[in-house]
Amino acid sequence: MTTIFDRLDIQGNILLPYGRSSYPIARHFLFHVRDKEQARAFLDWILPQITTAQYFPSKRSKQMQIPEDQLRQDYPEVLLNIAFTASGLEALGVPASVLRQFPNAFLDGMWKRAEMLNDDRADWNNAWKDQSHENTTHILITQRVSFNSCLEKVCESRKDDSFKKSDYLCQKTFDEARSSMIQHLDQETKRLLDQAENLGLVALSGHSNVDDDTKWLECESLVHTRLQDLAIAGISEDECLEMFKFQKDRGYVSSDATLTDLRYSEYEHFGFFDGIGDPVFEGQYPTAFQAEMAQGQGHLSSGQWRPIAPGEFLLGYPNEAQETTCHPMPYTFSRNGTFMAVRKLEQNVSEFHRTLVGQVPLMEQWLDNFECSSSSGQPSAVGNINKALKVLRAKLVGRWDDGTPLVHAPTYESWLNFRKRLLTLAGESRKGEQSAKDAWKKFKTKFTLFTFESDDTKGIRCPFASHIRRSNPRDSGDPSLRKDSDSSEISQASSLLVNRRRILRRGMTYGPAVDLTSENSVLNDQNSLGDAERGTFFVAICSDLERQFEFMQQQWLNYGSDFNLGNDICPVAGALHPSAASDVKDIKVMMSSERPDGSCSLPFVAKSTPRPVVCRGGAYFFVPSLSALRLLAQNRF
Amino acid sequence: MPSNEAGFYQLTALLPVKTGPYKALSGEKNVPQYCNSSQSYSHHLKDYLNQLSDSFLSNIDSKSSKSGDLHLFDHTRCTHFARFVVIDQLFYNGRRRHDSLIDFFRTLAAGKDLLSKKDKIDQLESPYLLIAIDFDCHPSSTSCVQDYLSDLWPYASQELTEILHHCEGFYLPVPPRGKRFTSRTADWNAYRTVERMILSHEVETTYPFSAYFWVADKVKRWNPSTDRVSPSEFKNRWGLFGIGILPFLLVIVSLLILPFYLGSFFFNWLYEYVPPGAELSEFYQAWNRWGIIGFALSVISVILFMFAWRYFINRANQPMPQIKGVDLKSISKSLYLQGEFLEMYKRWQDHDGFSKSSIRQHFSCFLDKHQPSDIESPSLQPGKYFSIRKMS
Ligand code: HEM
Repeated sequence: MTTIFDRLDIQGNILLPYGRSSYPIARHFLFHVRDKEQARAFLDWILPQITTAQYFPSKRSKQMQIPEDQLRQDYPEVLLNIAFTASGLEALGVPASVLRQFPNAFLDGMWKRAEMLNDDRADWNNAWKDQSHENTTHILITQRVSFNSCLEKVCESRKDDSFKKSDYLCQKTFDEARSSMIQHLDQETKRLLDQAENLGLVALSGHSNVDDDTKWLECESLVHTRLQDLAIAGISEDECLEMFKFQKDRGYVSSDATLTDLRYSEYEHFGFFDGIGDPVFEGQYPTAFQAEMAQGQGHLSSGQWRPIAPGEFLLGYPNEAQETTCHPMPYTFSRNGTFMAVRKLEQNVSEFHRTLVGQVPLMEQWLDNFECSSSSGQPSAVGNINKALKVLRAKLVGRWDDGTPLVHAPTYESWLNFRKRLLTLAGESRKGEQSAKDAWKKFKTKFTLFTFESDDTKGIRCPFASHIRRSNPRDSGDPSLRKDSDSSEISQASSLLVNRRRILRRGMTYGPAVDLTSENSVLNDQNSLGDAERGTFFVAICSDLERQFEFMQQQWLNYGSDFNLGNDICPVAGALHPSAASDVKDIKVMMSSERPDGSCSLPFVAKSTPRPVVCRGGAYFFVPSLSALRLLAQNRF
Repeated sequence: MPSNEAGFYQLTALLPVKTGPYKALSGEKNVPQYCNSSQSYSHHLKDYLNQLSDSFLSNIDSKSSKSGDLHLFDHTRCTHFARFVVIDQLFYNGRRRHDSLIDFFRTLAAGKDLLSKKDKIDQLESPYLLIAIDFDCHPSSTSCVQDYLSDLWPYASQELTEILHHCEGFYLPVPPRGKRFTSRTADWNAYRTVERMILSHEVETTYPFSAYFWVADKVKRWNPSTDRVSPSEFKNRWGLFGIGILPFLLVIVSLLILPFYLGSFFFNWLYEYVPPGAELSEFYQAWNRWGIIGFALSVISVILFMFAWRYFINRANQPMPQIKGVDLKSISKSLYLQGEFLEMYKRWQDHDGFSKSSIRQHFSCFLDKHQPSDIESPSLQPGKYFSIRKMS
């Protein structure tokens, strides 16, 4: 039986992420409810404006062949979404008989459970602290406005029809469109805050990274220039120019393109391409499209990838254990809703970077002498310094900076080749020929389609300690495998251990970007970094906070036993328990390597900083369906 | 033995707790504060156990606990899991399911009405103390519990004596009038009593709380159509045939032959009434002969079946072989070595830049310092937890 969702009843951000380049700025508001009658009036007002999961008319919806009647008429200008904490539901007058059925993790809230997640409560921003009744967080509202429509207007006003979505823009156009977007967003923000104030909602402050009075946390996708993207592999400027020329000659990019053109990117502050790995579940995509999307992202058994059960991410549907996940009655209130863990994670970018740069000389030496698995790739003109840094970074995450999985491209040279092919295929497909498009599509699945147990049993390509191997071990840990399993058994490994531990990631970066193109920039340029706070506003959606999000954070990121790594934490997003933090100087990541004949060569032991990220606060939210929101607004329990 | 499996011993004991108000152990001079004379034994025991676990929790934080304060069970370095629990009463699990049709006929026959039939509800006559401890033990040992208790005794004598004092059947020998036991004799007496109590209340257990089967043998999935059979497996299959299939065949054969036997029995009885001298038919004779053979075969098969059964049970009772490296000492040592080895490697890598000439030296220092073959020490520090006694 295929699952078909009532997409008009589900909030928009759950099923699919909003494009980080089409809606590049998100403002997160936290509200406190004073008076429940007034708050209900506010919900009544906001209800028709909430963005649902209905498909937007776009290139992608055409690809997916969504019938007209299932598409939105327009491309939405403003996106609004809403979620409630447990105390928020209580403040809105949800009857205790309903509230008590909610799971413990949600009722407790993140503040109470911070210790378990290895957060140091002293680091939390006051706004998130669930201490006083005066200003506890009750409601989270997220507001976004469309970038493309502003861009379109800018192009129109210039009588220039160069408007093209998701492409690089010249600095001037970009700036104009961005400021027009911010202007639009400011208007919308004012409208929202005014209405909230009229109806007795208190907009909380103190969760912003700017100052203590701003009433929202602003997340903006990081901006990349064409040069930055071309140079992501650490190649020299000459090589970039050469590549750019090649692209122009072939007609992959338009003739007036320049290296300083800008676009909103998918990168996060440490400089990695993010948002690639995301679970695919039943009902999320049209049936015809689903099987294809599930490759590498779903549930693996007997060598087949299938979409995960919908109950892992939405309440009211069967989950991977063929049960329904805890769903409070009345059914209308919980069905099509879900839970969301939100965490403001400050990233210590300069320290992270400095730690890695400090290891570059040794890494170079190791690469020269012992890393024997490098394939036939011709020696590149790249400075070895960059190469060493890139390898170090990739091994901590499990993907190269541009997201290429280490499982497919274990060495720097193979990554360069992978990238070359990627860029060529992308360019060819942009020219519009169907066969080129298909080839491009096929190649792109490599970003998600790989396994660890069967492709990299010994962790030679992707270290066991790396971020993506920890947060989604895929087919590793299959309980039917043993130490002496043979290769045919290993190749049949299933994702049994992982199916019930997945989360939908919907986070965004906040704070100003750091330029990491040159490995020395941070060192020389301490001041420009200043004290600005930057990081990821991490959002995880799942139907069981305890089983999915909390388990992943505690067991896989903050502990290493499942990967035979003892107490070691994740080098990118792990946290030591505050009481142990002072005893641990660094986090070690062992990188193995192999000689061409399959024997082991000397490993390299890299280290990361003990506190790559610091949690500045967060909360657990219930993301209701539109029907549930109506129940709340009209108090019909 | 089911309680002893794969190198672990799963000790479970259920001891009835004394009823009536608590009386302190005779000979105990300073009655502790928490003693309240109107408390029942079970309440007193719970207080005592809570005190143990409270001090355990407050001392988990390695910083605030004093060094030297070890958990009761840490001294032996072989306890994976230990729980002392007071069970007050069994939980009522609701009515038992019956076939309502059968119930209906039964009550009809008895002339009662359906609702008057009540389930019998099991009740404990007194609270019970549950002791559950998983510890390392060699599969061939026959005195696991005794050995373990005597290892634990020097560190936990006071606690164990106090705990078991709450249980029915605990009594210490009384010295002859006018004399006192030496402290060694008193200690020995207490030990004997504790050991006797635990052993005599032990319950056979088939599943451990702690299992580290990470190197367990691969489960063999045998597919008769495709898998070739190796000689060793072949032997096993004959074994399987011997203990599993042969008795089964024999039972079937004897069941088949039984009618002959019964038939001959019947004819014998019939011919009892035949006047003497009358000719016995050939049919009867043949039948009778078959009956005797049938009888003999049945007897043989029953005997064989009994043997097979014995063999089967004996085999099942043999502990599974010890899994190497999963006893607590080896686990702590290997985690310790893993960390230290990485540390050593990193030091060599960082300071000597992969220089081949110094790796031997680093490694030999590592060997000297961390003694990989000595699983006792150095190793991970046992948690610095508690003892309610102050260690000297
Ligand atoms: C600021 C902190 C973090 C950073 C910089 C970060 C960065 C990354 C990067 C670069 C990737 C690879 C790109 C991709 O597969 O999409 C990734 C993947 C992932 N991360 Fe994080 N991450 C952070 C925090 C977390 C946390 C706290 C969790 C979970 C509790 C998490 C869970 C995941 C998951 C599940 C994946 C996808 C793996 C896959 O499906 O293959 N991350 N992260």
